Amino acid sequence: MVRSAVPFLLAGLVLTSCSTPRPAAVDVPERATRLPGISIGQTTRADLLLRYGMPTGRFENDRILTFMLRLTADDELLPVSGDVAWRDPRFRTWDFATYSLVTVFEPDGRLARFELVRVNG
Amino acid sequence: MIRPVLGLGVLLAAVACETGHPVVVPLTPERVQHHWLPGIEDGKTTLASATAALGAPLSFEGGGVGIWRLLLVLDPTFPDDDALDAELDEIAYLWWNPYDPYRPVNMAGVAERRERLFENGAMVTAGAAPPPGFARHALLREAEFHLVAAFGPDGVLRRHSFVRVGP
Repeated sequence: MVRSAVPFLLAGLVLTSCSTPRPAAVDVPERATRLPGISIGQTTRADLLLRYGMPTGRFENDRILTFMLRLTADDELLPVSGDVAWRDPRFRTWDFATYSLVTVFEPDGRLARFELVRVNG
Repeated sequence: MIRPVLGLGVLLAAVACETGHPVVVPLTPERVQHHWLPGIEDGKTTLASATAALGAPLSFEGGGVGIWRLLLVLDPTFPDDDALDAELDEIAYLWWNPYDPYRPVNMAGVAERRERLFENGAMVTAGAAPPPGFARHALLREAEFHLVAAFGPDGVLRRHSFVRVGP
């Protein structure tokens, strides 16, 4: 009885695995929550500069700073220089997924809000 | 009797495989800073001494934060057109891998180039007015970093970071 049920059980498992949807890719809002060292009301402008280096964009008298980030194969978001040498093969993967981290500061230099915007890929 | 011999053989094979594999020294920020910028220390370095060593920061933010853009290059002299082309060809030859863009295709060549870098390479600073030919260094950089340094009102370094931004 048990032996005769094994093939059906296996077939059922295979079919179930076929129909099981693959885990959804991490979406941008969720990825934003994983950014280390960013906390609204606590993170300062200096904290962000120390973590991400020179901003790639500045707006409204530096009240808004943007940082270009790239997603690595290890699912890490790392800062990117604005100067990309496209003839260099090492940059070949950089256009797959790029994000812009947009940060807005209070007058006292603390982070008021931030958004992670997918700009490529 | 046979087991120890087999074990020794496996061990020797493993060692041979290990030593035969080219070792590419990774350009981690810690390693690079230790090698090329050992004098940057929190609580000791001043804005004046950092500026004397690296030139004026490319950007000076509010709150006493100075940022230097630094390129790690094999040769600090500016290449002419032929040298630039030759270097770009070598980089392409070493790194172009149609099957896995995250890994160089020629590990031995990259390892040898990395050895040359640690022996003769230089850290080049991009100031507010980059010197002529600096754009060529940007094309040939082995790695690019931002040194972010937060100075206190007394001009002494409070904290700093060395961020790799490419390639």
